[in-house]
Amino acid sequence: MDRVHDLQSVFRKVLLSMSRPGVISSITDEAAKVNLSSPCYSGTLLVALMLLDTEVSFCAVSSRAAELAHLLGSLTYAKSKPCHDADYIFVLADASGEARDAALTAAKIGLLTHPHRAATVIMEAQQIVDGEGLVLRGPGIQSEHKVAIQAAGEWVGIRAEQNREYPLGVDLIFLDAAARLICIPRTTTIEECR
Amino acid sequence: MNIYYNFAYFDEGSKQEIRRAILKAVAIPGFQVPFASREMPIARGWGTGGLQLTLALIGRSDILKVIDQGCDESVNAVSIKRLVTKTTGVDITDITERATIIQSRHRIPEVPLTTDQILVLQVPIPEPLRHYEPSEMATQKLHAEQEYSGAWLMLFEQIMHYRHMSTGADHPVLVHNRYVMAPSPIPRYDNPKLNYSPALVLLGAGREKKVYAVPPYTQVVSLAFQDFPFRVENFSGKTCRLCGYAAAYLDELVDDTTGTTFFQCNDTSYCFKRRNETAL
Amino acid sequence: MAYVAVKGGAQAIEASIRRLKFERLKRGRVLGVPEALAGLRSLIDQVMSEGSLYCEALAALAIKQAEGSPEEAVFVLRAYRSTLPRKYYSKTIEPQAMEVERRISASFKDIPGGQILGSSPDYTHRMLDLTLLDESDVSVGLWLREFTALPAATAGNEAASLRALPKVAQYLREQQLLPHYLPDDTPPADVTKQSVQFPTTRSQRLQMLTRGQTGAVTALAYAALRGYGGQHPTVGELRVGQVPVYVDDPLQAEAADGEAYYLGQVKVTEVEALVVKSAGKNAQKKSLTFALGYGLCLGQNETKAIAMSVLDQCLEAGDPQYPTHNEEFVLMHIDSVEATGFISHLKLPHYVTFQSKLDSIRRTSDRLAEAAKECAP
Repeated sequence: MDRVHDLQSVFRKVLLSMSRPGVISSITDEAAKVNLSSPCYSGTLLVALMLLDTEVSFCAVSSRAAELAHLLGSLTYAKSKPCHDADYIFVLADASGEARDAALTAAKIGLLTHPHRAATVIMEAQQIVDGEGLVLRGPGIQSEHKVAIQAAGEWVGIRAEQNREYPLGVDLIFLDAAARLICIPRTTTIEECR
Repeated sequence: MNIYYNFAYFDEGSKQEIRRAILKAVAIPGFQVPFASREMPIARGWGTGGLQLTLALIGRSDILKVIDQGCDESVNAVSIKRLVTKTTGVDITDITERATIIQSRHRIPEVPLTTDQILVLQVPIPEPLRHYEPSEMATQKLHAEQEYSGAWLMLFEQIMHYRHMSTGADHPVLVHNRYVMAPSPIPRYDNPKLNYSPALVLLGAGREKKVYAVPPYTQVVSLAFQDFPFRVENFSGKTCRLCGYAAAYLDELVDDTTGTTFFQCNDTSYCFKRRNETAL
Repeated sequence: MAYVAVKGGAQAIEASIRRLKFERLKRGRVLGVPEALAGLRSLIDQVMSEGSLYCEALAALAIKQAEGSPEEAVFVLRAYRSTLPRKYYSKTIEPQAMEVERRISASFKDIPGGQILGSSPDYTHRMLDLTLLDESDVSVGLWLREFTALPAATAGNEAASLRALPKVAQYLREQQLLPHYLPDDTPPADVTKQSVQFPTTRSQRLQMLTRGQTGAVTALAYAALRGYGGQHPTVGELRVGQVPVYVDDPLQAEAADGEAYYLGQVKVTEVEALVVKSAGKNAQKKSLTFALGYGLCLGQNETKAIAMSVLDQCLEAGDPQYPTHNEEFVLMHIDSVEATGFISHLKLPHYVTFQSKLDSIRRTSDRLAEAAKECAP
């Protein structure tokens, strides 16, 4: 893996998905080059390497949280902090619905004078399917975008609660095992189709 | 002693910090996210903010266009392009449609941007309320409280003095119905291009150390009063001397020999494009 | 035949750069970096301090490249600094353990360890010395041999004692004249990694002051002394000397001192200035005490370090009637790269914005002309 060029490529794709919520980006090619074994998806590891360094903190939510924390700490020198304090929260596939909900509820939402000091929550999902499911609207989306995200817990409701006072709120990145990702910034409104 | 320069000049830690700030900026349209803002080999005030964004974004397959006041050949634009190519080897273009990243000082290109492009605007003063309130601490609170009477007051005073709003460039806008934003000193003519743009627009102020963003398809409204609506610059009756176009933003120039005033497209690559098309 | 842009801009830039090189070389003599290192010590110290990078060789090279312009040399050095990965912070440096080369106090005639004048232009007469025109490597070599053959000036005091001179401030603390604060181990902010937010912490203020342009910091401190700051400090102690720098193993939590890595020594100038302050919140119980203004610079930069200590106290006091107590006013305008960059940016094309100013002026004068016509009899 080329830390300079592959991480630049990962960044551009995350940026694309963050500025166009619902658009699925694929970092499969970059993920294929990852040779480390880790408790998280390769895609998640790449996003972590792209984001983390000594200046920021993170929190891992998983039965293998300690292992992930050690790995990320030694690769990036980022500091491990509890969920309510962390700049980046990594919720792994094995985390239970309760654990995921607790992490999302604890995540910091920023201050009115500093709304950017909010957490970004990176959640591993079972599956991400384009074209059906949740209806997304808002900045970055021309009219609306449909996407189904299979992940445990009540993240849609908790996110709505956390984000009720814009500009405060959390921003989400979802990844699946095939290193496909989508982003849902706090500006996106989500409507659940029953 | 050997000095080895990293791809895109910065060390990876610097790029990471800028990238984190960009992602947060996109999540909060129009809000000025502080960033460390490294010193560059180009002077503060000469586009270091835009340059840092470009260098944090750029990859080997990108194609870069840089303009200053609409012109690809302006000394400043050339200087920035040289630095980027020196440290990345990336392709450069004058043709707006070919570019994946467009860095610009004080203009948005005439050719409509697409979803594959990112526009990076250079910003001298990111704070739209700065003329009204010199203190950074105070303006932070004003934004938090959506207390924008200072911006309205400035426009009101212009109307009182000049019978119309007279901001030439950098006319403040309201983004996603929440933050009043300085769009950078683009002419009023270019403000409407920010509204529901298919392209992502990033704005960087190096000296003031702020980055902000307008995501694609985001509402951007120029501030105006009901009885004094927002108006772009008036070029009625004027056409470009070179390509004959009447609907582009025009520069006013004086002919050296005859002393008469004439007009010319400010966006030089657009003018060439039109002239080449009509010539065929 | 297609219309294409004439590449005038690039050619003009190339010609200008060649012209600049000509100006630097036109007298046909090379300024060697060793010569610059040998003879421009003071400018090197200034450039390292404003550049916020301690490396005499690189500073000398920057000065050569900049043809002696501190503004340009600092710019180049800072830009280089931007490319260096920043992985570690040093352990706290104790200036009390400085290997002192110069150390004076304006507050007390006699201080433990004595007033050590050291190397300073303060005691010279600033008369232009024409004999310097005749200096040669040979004459310099002779003088150096004579100088090093002289007996040590410090009779009785061993060189080792220059490493452990007590601080004047310590005496004042023992006399209960300077408040004794509990050590605060809050990690300092790094203004080069995170942009400053107001209100600032003292550590942010001190960092910005030490990186400040010498002239700017000096001018503002001068203003503070002249009535725009209400400050009347006395230099408690000024020290110039070498301090050692240690770094912990990054993967181990707080290692014991003996296990840290020694990187080398840096020369610094430290000033502790004393101001009289009234203490106590209760109006009746107000008493007077000393407060410390602190200045620290890389290299021997005495004027700046003293000015820094004056402004440190101004910003601590924060009296709204004085502009030198306004942290945004002081801190946002003293950085060489920021200030000179923005001023010089006025040379960039501002055609579009100027055009609209023209437009506004014309509209106004048109309107006035029309109004005049209407009013004319």
